[in-house]
Amino acid sequence: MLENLVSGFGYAFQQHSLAALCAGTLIGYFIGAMPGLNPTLGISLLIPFTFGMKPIPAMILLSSLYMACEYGGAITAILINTPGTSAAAATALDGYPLTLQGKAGKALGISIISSGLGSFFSTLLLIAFAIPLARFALSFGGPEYFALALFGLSIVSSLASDSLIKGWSAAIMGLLFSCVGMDTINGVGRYTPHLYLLEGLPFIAVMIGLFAISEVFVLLEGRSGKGENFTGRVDALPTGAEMKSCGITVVRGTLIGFIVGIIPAAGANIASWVSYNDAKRRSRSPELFGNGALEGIAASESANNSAVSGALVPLLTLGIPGSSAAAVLIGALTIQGLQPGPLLFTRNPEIPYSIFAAFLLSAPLMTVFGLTCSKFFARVSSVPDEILAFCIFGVCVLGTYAIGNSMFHVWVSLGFGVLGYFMRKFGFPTAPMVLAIVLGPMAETNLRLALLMGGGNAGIFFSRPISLVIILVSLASFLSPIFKNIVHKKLSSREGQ
Amino acid sequence: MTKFVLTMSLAILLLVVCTTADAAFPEKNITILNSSTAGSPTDLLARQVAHYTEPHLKQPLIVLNKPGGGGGVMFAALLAAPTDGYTIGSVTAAQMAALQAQLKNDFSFDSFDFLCNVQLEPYAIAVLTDSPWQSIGDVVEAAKSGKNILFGGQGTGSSMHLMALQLSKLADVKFTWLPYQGGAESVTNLLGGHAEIIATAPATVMQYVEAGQVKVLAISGESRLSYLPDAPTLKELGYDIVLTQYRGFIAKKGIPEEIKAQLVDAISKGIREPGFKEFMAQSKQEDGYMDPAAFYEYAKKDFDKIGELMQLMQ
Repeated sequence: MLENLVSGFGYAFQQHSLAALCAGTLIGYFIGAMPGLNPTLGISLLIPFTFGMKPIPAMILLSSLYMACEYGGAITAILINTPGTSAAAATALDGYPLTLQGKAGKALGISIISSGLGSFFSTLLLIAFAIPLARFALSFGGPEYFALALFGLSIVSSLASDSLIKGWSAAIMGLLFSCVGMDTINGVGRYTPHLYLLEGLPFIAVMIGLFAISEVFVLLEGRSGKGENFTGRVDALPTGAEMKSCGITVVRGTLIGFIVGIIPAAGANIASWVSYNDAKRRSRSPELFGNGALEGIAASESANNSAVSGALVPLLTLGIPGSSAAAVLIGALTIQGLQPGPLLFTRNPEIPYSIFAAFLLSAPLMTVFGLTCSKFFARVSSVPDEILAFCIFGVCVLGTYAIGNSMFHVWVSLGFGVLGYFMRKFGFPTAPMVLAIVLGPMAETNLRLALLMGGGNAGIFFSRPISLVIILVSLASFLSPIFKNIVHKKLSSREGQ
Repeated sequence: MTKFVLTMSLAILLLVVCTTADAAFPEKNITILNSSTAGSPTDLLARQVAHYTEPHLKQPLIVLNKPGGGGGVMFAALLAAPTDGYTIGSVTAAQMAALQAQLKNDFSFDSFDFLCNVQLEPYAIAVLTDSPWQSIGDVVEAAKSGKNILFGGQGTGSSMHLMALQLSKLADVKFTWLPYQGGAESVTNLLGGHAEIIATAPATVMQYVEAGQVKVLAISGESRLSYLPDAPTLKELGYDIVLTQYRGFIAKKGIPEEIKAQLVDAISKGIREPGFKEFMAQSKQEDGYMDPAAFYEYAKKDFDKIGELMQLMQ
């Protein structure tokens, strides 16, 4: 393995590969930062350019673009509350409050460093465990996916700790929205008056609406919430002590991201939420989460980059895509005449190992580039609200149009923008709704698949060890914030007496 | 001076207008609408065809993804464009089959002109190599003895589902159908043991067959595949089931005959280029070229058959 890795570095240091690495990273950074343009689209846009390239530089170009997208997504999430990729949604929860407090530079700095560490260490995990963990990716069937979705939904309890009722109402409304579209088990349309709705509400447009467009309305109203401590120095980077305080969160985020990334169909989206939840539960100051906790950014960003490495485990060892971007990578490999799958490591070991080497090289490259630029990016936060609002609006409309080359997505995002505005006005958090729309279809489809597998018997969820464990963990995660609340209220009422 | 400039610009304008009016088809980009998302196998095929057809039309062919609506968004966009040959669509049997199901009330088969077909592929029925069932006969026997067989594959009402339904009807047995989102998900579930047998595109499982993990029990074509010589057709096994996935190109009905002929000619030349043939071999596809008349006939027959089989779902 070591000699393979050394030769992988040899390939990665060739001039074509290095050029591909730099190009892929830079392009990925900007595609990631642009709302609506996601890694999947970025990779497919570049595929035609790889037709004339040799396999190694081609794969380095595309995989470093994939990794860099997950770095870039955080920039707009932090600065303008518009997640550039859907996996950066959890980053916006704390990143944007920090920007409002005049700490954009710190937020960007932490996001870039955690992304860099996440991608570097998850690549080491990938090199060491790709082959042994391949079987783990296969152990997820209907019951396990249902359990995983349930676990994801249980996060709502901790996301909405201010008001559980409002948080869960938003989540349940999100679950109802996720019912729109084809019922994949019976093959009939539900709530589909127009054929555009057959595939359900487009998730990215909904997310941009709830987070970014609603923010435009808030900004135009003239109550952006920029605090009194909003100082002119927005470009200060995090201090050593601040970075240190996030260290353990990054380690856990990397592990969580890697494991969730391996599971096909889970990916960076879910990884960042799970990691965010974990960091909040373990934090000494959970009340800071949602109001500008650096740990929250570190958790989400380390996990979504680490999930990219995780997604490569089933891709390279089994030929199974762990995410939609990975599915496009498979297409690119096929064009190069390579079959990702059980035979790749024996037939073409130079491909996986040069990708590994490229990831290890791109992590420091990205971090240096990101830190240099974040000082400039941070100045976005000192742009006057009225101007910023129109810029966000323009970027969002452009980005949502690009999702499906149609105005439909734009209208959806505007509609959800209005909904999001009123939700925020009445104190309903929007994050649980986004989470529910991501997880709703996964929960429903797999619940029904599992029941089909078990012949209608729900025992299947408890007779399979992985699904049983995840269900127990989600129960704990669902109930613990509620108990904490009750205990907390009792204690404080006692103190009051 | 101003007068001179004005006259000159008018003259140039006139020149430009004349040259464009005289130029033959195509004088600008041709758009290929594609209902699948960027990077999917159908999208890659369209992009490869575009790449190799370009030199024969001397104009760029641009693939535009119009995903959504179960293929309906693409059909709607195609029908909204003028019938001048500058907008065509890539189509598969599975997409046309949607006009028998969820898109039944939105589009009609007769709204489209069939240009030419490029790929033709049967479906495969596959199990793990160490499965207790090594032939379709074993599967049928197990089902007859009352075993609840978990049969997975893409979608509900899809050709693969219809193939399984037809098999269960002809063999007089019952399967539990597990509908998955796509080919990769079906294979993942087979490899993980969550489904016992799957219906899939042969190309999706070929690498696992080569690695000795998966065995193809039967295919649904008229004849055996060159790269899977040991897999019998369902017909050979005594089940009269022939279902295939075609991938070709369509236009809105009413496209002028000479423009249609030009497009078909260019595509048919493009797909004979060595580079395209290499792509086909790499993606384990056999040449399925059909000219407009043959393609229409094939698609119509397939469409009617799917309509009949849909009755089995009731």
